[in-house]
Amino acid sequence: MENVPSSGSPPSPALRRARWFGYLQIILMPFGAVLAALIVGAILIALTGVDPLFAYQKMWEGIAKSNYQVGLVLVKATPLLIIGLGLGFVFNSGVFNIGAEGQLYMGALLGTAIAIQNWGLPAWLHIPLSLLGGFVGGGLWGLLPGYLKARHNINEVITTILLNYIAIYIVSYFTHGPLRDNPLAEAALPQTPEVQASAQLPLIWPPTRLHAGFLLGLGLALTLYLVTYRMAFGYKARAVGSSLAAAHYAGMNTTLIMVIVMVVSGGLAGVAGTVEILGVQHRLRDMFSPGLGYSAIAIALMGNNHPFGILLAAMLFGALQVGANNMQALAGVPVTIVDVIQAMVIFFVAVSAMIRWRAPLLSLFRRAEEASG
Amino acid sequence: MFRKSLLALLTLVLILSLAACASPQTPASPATEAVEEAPAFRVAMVFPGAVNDKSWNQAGFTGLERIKNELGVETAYLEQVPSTDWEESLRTFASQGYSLVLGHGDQFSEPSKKVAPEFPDTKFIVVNGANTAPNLASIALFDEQVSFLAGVVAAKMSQSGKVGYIGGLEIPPVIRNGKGFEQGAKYVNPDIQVSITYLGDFNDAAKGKEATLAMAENGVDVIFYYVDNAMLGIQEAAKGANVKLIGCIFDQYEMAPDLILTSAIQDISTAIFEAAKTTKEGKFEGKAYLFGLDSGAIALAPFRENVPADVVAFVNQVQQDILSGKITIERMSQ
Amino acid sequence: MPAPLLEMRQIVKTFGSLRANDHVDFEVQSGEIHALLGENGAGKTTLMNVLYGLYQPDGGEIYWKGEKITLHSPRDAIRHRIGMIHQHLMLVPNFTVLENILVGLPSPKEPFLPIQETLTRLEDFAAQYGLPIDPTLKVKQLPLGLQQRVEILKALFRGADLLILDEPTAVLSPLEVEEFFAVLKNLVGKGVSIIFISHKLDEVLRISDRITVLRQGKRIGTIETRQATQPILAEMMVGRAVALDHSFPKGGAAQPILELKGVSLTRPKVGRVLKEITLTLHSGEILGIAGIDGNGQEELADVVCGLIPYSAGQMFIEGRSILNPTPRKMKAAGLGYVPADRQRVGLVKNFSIAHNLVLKSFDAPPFNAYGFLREKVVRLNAQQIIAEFDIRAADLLQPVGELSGGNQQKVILGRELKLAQRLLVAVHPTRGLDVGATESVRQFLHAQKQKGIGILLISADLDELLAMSDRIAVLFRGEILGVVPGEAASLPAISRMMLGERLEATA
Repeated sequence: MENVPSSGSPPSPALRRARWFGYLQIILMPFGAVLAALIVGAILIALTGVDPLFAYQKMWEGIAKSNYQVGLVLVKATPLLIIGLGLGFVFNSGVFNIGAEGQLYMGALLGTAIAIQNWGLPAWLHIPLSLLGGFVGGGLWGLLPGYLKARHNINEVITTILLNYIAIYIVSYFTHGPLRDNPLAEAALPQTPEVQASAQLPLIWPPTRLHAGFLLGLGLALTLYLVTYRMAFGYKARAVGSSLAAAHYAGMNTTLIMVIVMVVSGGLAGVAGTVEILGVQHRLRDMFSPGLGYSAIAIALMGNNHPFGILLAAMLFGALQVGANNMQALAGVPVTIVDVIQAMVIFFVAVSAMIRWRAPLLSLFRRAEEASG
Repeated sequence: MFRKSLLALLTLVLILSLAACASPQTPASPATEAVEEAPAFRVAMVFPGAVNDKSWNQAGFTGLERIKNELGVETAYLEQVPSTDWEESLRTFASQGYSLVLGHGDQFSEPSKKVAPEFPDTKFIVVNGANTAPNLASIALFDEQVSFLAGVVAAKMSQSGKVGYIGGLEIPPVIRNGKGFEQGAKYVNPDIQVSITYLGDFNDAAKGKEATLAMAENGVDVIFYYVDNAMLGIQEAAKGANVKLIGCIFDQYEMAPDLILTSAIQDISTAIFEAAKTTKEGKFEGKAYLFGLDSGAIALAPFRENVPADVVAFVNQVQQDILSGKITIERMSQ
Repeated sequence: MPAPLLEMRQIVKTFGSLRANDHVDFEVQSGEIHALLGENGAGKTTLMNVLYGLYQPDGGEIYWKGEKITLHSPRDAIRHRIGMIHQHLMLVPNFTVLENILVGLPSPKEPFLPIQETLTRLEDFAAQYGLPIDPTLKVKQLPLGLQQRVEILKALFRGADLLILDEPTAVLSPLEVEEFFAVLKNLVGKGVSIIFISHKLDEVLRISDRITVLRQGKRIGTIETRQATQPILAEMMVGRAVALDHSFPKGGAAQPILELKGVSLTRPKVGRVLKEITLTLHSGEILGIAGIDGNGQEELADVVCGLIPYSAGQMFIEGRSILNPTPRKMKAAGLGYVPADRQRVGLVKNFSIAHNLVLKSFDAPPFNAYGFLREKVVRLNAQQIIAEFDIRAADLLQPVGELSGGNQQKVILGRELKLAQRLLVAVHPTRGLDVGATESVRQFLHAQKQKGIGILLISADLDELLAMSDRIAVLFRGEILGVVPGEAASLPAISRMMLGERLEATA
């Protein structure tokens, strides 16, 4: 591909400069945003009476002090990455799926239901089967709003949000009832039995907690990149997202495409939920997700719906969470302040990402000049 | 096209730089990190909820504060830890060389069982825990003992021969209090009728009021409750229906002096403090510690003038019999 | 000559490396209609945005009524009694005419709205300027011509000694244009001066007193309209002599390609949009469809191209009946479609040129192998078409939304002409394009005709239809009122049919 000249005439030096400037922005702006958020955060930390430098030192140690910590970051990033990939995919098609949280729960439910069965399956069969269950569970939970949107033009934002509640309560029902571990023991928590050893994701970087789910995430990122940017289906899906009228005009089956992307995005959320159970928690618990499906929306936006952007954003989130936990535990920064700092980093990065994609920095400068002149 | 390959490259760089940042003398396992430090006794605690929740987590936090102030040791904690992080939060503290790491609640039983073997030099204690290991203990209150006494008081004070128990959620500690109460009441009067109701909610005052009125309708004249804010509804209804109450957790006499006969004090913070103190003194054992009437963590609140002296004397005698072992109370199996 | 009302001296405005206005001088006398003429991108709108305070100039001075002024925002412009009516009307569709006029009007009795006073003044204005309107109607219910009238009233209410009209006739039908010109004359008679921005030579010649021509950001010159002719203006605009004789050789029709028999379309809530359309298009023929916008032209195109299933009737391609046409079926039958809305329908704006060029063929060889797009082939295809159709772009990966209207249309033509093996449907193919681009689009269409392709040409531009078409059918309220030969002599008949008068079919 690289040996094909991009056009009859080579791009002008001005154009090349503008592009390099664009790349530079892609690299620098998130860093600037994180820095800005940390500076504001430092003020808040100082107000609580903790030395901000000490707090940030603990935060950094939490992220990168040892391989173990790096592994933790990647463990945290894994479910966010997988959900984010699905969301990026569906957002590219102009469908706004807010239902990843519910899809995550339904996927985890079906995936765990398979993973706890003592069928004597070998791991190479039991794990994929459980993940498939996760995909089906989440996919079904995406199919319904997808169908309603495509066929009856019912706003998917509303339906997916409503379905989130239903899914969470369904999982509550199963963890309190049919799938409850040892229901006769009066002290039992609302959780399923432990998943079979044959269904647990292997650790891939001992002694860290990094499990094979991360590799799955990387594989999915590559796959979705190929599907979205190299395959005919991704071309169609992006056309639908960019201009429904144009896609229809071009003869594409826009309803089917919307349903498919919703199923894929729901399915990936379901896989993420299953991966979290098979790789980390090993039991499905009532209310097991701390809002992963919502965080992943921010991740998809930050990554500009691009699989590799999402990978970066998910790792940033993972680092942020692990670092913030460490800062809370070892520097004594109150959890509320930690949450505010995390949210600020997300906010700054997301806003800078949107500014970056919407308006090149050049035009910002120009406007600044105009305002002053 | 080019932009995309650039993004891919960036991803790679970030992964590599994260790995490169990792310290070169990376320890083989997090366990060995602990060995290097830890000369001083330090205590860390992990809470599933907010430490100012005016309930379970706050009670635990009070214990941690006592450890810090009265034992003069360094403490740290993590609050609002979601289920995804239960295991890792214990590990965070253990790997930092904390001598004692507490998990505040049954949900830490399983994570601590996994983490404890990785850090043999760290002691783990799970409040209301289910597992033990050489360096893992559980602590719990023997709540049946104090609720047994509450049952004795109720039976002695009831005119109608009908007493009631109102619990929040049907979960182990609430069930145990009901069982103990029933045993105590039947100890005094084997024919007494004990009604037991669960509200399904610790804080719904309306439900508490309804349940109280329903019991009063059936002739119940003494009620022991184990709820949080729902107690306000119970107290309001009791006032109109001429029902006496026995409070829970802490001495609630001041809330309704004419209604409250006594309270079944259940102070987990004392148990936590005592356990930490024992550990600091080097007397830690990997077993299930049960804190009964002898520990001071549970007790009946002091009686006021609304309980006749003969009843007080009787209750004191029962308490003596429990402490001396003349009366044995069954601990509900886990 | 008296001191001018407005004088802009040596205005410079640059965007990045682009110099949109390069030391432009411009003046307006009191009581004149001054046309500002130039191709798309010549800097007309930039200059006017400077005058309206939307852009700050990088250099130059503005004198208004003899005094030097600085305009920081449209508020300043309004304060100086300068009004501007944008090409895209800026009205609130759900508000009534009255409410739209009240928006942004200072109220003497805050916080209440001066409803009664405004109504009275509106009647005065309507009488004074000849601009009658029902103030209680919602703007979205009004035809575009009346919406524009509301914009003018809005500007007059704020007080305007100078009105800037940016391409005001682009959205109007020929009849509405006539009315509009009468209104302009009336306004000038009442002492309002007007700047009329356009790239249409005939209109400028009819309505203006003086004409200033811009080209590539520079002022080429100002001439009295009396002394101007179309060739002179065209040469000033383009910088070279331009052939203004649009007519193409006619004839060459052979066997039928597309036949419609009694095709009707009924839509929910709207009713019958097309009524028993019967038409025949022959190979090598251009069949023009005339009519005032909104009489079923775009629906006719969508039906023929399979985007909307028709309710009744029959459709044949080369004698074969086409049941339930879909875009894919019609593409397979050798149809190309240049839709009316090129930005929203014809193109995916944020896709590259290369990807837009395979919008309908990406999923078949040679562009597709095992579900993957073959980027090499896609790009080679783009290189060929870019060269063949002279598409001006930075490179073939440039998003198509960044191109000028003319180049966007060339991208669509480059794609659709390849697909049009038998027939082509083109709707408003030159709407909004400048002279140069219009000319080349027409050349491309004509070349297709000569290859034997049948073309259904739907246009609101009667000159274009007369110049290009072999026959012209007139649509009125979804019905074909008649078909006439594509020659200048048909003009009166076409005009009458456009207004609903039924003539004997002659073709």
